[in-house]
Amino acid sequence: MRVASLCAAVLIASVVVAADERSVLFDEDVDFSMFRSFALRNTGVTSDRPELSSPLVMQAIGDAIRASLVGRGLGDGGARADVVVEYSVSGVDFEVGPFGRPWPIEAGRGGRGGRREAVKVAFTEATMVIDVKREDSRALVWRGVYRIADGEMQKLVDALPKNAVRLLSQYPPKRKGRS
Amino acid sequence: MRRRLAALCFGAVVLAVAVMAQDFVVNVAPLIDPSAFRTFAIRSGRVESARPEFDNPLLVKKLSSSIRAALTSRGLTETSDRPDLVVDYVLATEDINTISSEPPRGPLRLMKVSLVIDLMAGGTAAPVWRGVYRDEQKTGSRLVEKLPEAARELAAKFPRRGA
Repeated sequence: MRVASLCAAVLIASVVVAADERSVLFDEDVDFSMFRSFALRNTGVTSDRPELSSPLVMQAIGDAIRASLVGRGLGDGGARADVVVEYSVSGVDFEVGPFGRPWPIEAGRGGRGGRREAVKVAFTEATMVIDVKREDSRALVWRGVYRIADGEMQKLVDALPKNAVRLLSQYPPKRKGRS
Repeated sequence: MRRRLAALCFGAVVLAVAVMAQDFVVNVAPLIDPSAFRTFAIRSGRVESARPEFDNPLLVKKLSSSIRAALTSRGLTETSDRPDLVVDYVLATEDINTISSEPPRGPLRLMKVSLVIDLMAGGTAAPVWRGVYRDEQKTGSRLVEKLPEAARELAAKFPRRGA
């Protein structure tokens, strides 16, 4: 019975993990302690959904990023910042076909065969990207990516600012070999 | 009943693991001894993916570092001056929309990745050695984590110099 419970837990966990994921990449040759100030830049949202393309969503994400970085000791430096922090969100709607297979609904048209009226959005996949670039060279030094797929737009929209904070909890990155 | 349930669950887990399989394949040109080469240079690393966690210079830099470390450990020396071998690699991703074969059944999004590393002898267009890594996971983030180590493992399959 224990084996069955363990197996069930593994399966459920793997399904849950698939709904929401985070990736962080950074340049290991960069000394992040040199960066003292940042400038925040909203580089836009791409989605057919008004709930997602709302300026309020981007404002909430921007506020979360600003609070997170200030909490980590960086100053909001405006035009004289050491790094530029850019954030963007994109959303893709999916329908689920008669056999249960998901299909992306392309922007400006319906699902397969252009059947706009027949399309029922089953879930939306949103991707949020936070980039930290050097102000002088515009070289990318840190990237955080958060992806969530959910049928409930409220849940999805609420998750974005929270996960901006979770991504930035890995900034500045811990360097290997440092005690 | 308990045994059947345990067996069923075990089978489902094995199936789930089988779906997320990884694979390393190596091709070597006939009549060429790859272990005779002494120097290399990484010429290009390209990413073909719409996903931002893959399509960025940070991942390219990590992959190049892994490949460089692996080839150096095989006895080759990196040089920019007329290298014996030129390294090109391409990372490609593909989104798979399918149906979960294990309970709870339902729509499932998978991510497939392939990394192809080609080593060309100076002046030739065809590779003298090709390594291919394929993997499939439920999340791109897992693949991003695995890729630098996979690139190292794949490039380390190049024969040790003088072996």
